[in-house]
Amino acid sequence: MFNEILTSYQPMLQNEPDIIKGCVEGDPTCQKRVYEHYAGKMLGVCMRYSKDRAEAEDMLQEGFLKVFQNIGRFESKGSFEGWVRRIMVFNAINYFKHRVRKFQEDLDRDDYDAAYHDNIVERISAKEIVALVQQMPEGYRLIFNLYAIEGYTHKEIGEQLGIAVGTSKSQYSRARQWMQQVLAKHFQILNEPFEETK
Amino acid sequence: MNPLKKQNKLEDSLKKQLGDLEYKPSDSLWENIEKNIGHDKFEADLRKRLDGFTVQPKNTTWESIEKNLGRKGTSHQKFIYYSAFLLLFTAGILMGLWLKLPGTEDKVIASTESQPVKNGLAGSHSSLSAAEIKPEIRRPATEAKNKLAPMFIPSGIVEGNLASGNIGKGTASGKTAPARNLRVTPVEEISTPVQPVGSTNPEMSDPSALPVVISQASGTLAPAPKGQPPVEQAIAAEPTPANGINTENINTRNTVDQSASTPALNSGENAGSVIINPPVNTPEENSGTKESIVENTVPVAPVAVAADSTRPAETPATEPKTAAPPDSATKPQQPANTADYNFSTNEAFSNLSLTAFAGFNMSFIRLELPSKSHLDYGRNIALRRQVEKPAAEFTGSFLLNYHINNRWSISSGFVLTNFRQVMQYNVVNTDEAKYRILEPTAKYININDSITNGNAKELEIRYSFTEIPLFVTFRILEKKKISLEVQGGLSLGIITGVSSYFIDPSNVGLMVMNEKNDYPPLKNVLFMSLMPAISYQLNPSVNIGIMPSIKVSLTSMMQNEYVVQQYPYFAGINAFLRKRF
Repeated sequence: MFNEILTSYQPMLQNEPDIIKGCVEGDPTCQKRVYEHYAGKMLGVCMRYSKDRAEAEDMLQEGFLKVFQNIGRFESKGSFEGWVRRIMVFNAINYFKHRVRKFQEDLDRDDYDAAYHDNIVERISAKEIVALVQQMPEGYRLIFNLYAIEGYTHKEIGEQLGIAVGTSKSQYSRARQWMQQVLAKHFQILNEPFEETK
Repeated sequence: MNPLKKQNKLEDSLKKQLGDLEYKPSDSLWENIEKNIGHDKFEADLRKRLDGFTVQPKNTTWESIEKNLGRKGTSHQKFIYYSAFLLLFTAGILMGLWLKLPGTEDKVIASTESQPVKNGLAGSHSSLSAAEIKPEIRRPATEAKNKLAPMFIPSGIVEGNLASGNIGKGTASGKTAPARNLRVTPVEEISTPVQPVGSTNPEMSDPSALPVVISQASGTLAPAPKGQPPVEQAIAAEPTPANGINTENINTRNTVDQSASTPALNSGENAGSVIINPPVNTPEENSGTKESIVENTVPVAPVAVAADSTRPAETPATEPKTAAPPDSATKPQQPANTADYNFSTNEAFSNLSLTAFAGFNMSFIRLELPSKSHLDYGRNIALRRQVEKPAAEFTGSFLLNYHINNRWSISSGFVLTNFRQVMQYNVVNTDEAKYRILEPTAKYININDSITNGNAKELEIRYSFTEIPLFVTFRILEKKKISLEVQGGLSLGIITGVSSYFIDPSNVGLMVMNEKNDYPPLKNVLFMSLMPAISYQLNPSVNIGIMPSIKVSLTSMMQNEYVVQQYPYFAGINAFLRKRF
């Protein structure tokens, strides 16, 4: 199981410009500091794009390699965390580039009798949400993450993934519906009264 | 009535009746509508819930990252360290062996323990004239080599007193020769290895302004050769490579690479395939939110294409999934011009370098009166200053340098310094010997001879120091390939070899030292050195140069504070070769 650390606020890396400069120069101490500061959150990002933790760790490794290899190009015009996060997302996208052939025509879903309501998201932990996201098929999961979490538009998703905007919308719609139903079912299961079996 | 008119009337009445008809929708209908209206809240709730979600990676994750980062010189740094240590160790051994004078242990020394002063030479061999009695150092093993004359030693004195027993009675040829205790040391020509001229020096004036070209094949960075446009222009100017990565997308978000990437995409069969073009930064950068187009674009090399028979053949050029970028990909390219080479900012080199020195020193010694003796050593010091003359001797060192920046560096390592002086003197038999106090633990030659200034006899005084230095080097001036530096610092001089003679404080007899602890015992010395240098850059990693040096001891060699204190100092010149890693 994962060690979840829920933090709503990620403080900036202390002496960030110096540390970034050190990373540019290849200082291993600075690199490790960057890693230690952002690894937890970035692994959380990778977990949403992966099907399991092992895959997420692989993504994280590749992502940080790309961070350090390209850190010289960071121009301090935005937040460093945002830059690192983008690399993680792009790496996750690349990770699936040659694995996802096409989106599934339909998401396999059971007949869920649970009704979704907005409060459900607030009542389920982030860890559980991520675990449910991981159950989603790869292609849907990718688009779901890009739209729902990262905030890309369908147009941007279509450009990045090389798909039509309509495809992105329809795929997301299915993924969203699936996610809501799964969340509802999960919530229902969690709140079902315990019945003793005789 | 016209049928058409009837129909129109019917329609009008239907409209009239049904026009205001209203039905109340069910409650669930509104819920569904409300649900669809508020769909953004789902995403917002999810985003809010997942914001800050962290998972601690395994401890081995960083190790894998670090390993794949392909640290510059990590693997061969260890090799360099071990090699440098081995070289220094070997050099030290060789120097120690080389400095060990041949036959010194066979020296015949008249020990004071078995030679009472009163029963001196005059009593036992009165038949011999004083001039014929010249105890000489004999080295049977190397006698022929050094062309030493046989020794005449009165049997009554030396029999049973000889350490080696190599001197026998009656072996003399009858003729005496001046004592020659010289070991001829040919001047060795030290040739420093010259590295072959490598590639041309990189021209890197300002590392922060280095243009960077992304190698699409490897996905790693390499500084662009001089004259090439900066990144964005270079990438924009690049044609779309065959591996499907449209570099134009790095700066634009609207370009979709559908031509050079997977051909199958265009066929429609894989219309839903995920084709990735690296997105571009946008000015709005917020953690966890969408990023807009800005210059912080990171073109991400795609991971290795998984083997898939269903996929149409593509032009491969993708990096392996977990392969570390090769060193050549991360090393900066070196343009042809070598001007303005910035030594320490060259990204191809680490902060370490190794310097080998070799040269010659003239050895001097400063004699001072002991601080704790009431005896008059003034005559002794005056005589020693006359008879002890400086001589040149080899010196060498290996230093490991750490370059703090372009100008400053600190160094340490091993310095082998050989002290050599020639003592030219005469001996005169004297009666004063019987009135002096001999050091019971000392070893003597010419024990009853008054030592005077002259050149009838000649001995070498030798010390070898193995120094452990701590030097600081400052580069004063650098112009093109020539630089002017100054190096200075302290070093601990460990005495590792002794072959020395001291004129007895009474100026009668010579004390012989073969070991550090022989009387008078010696101690290690603290040296201070100052060495300006002129260096010439052969190639980006190799410098050669010349370095005159001055080295003075800050502490006396003598352990005993009741004897004349000795402060060696040197002036010399060295050639050096510095190799950067």
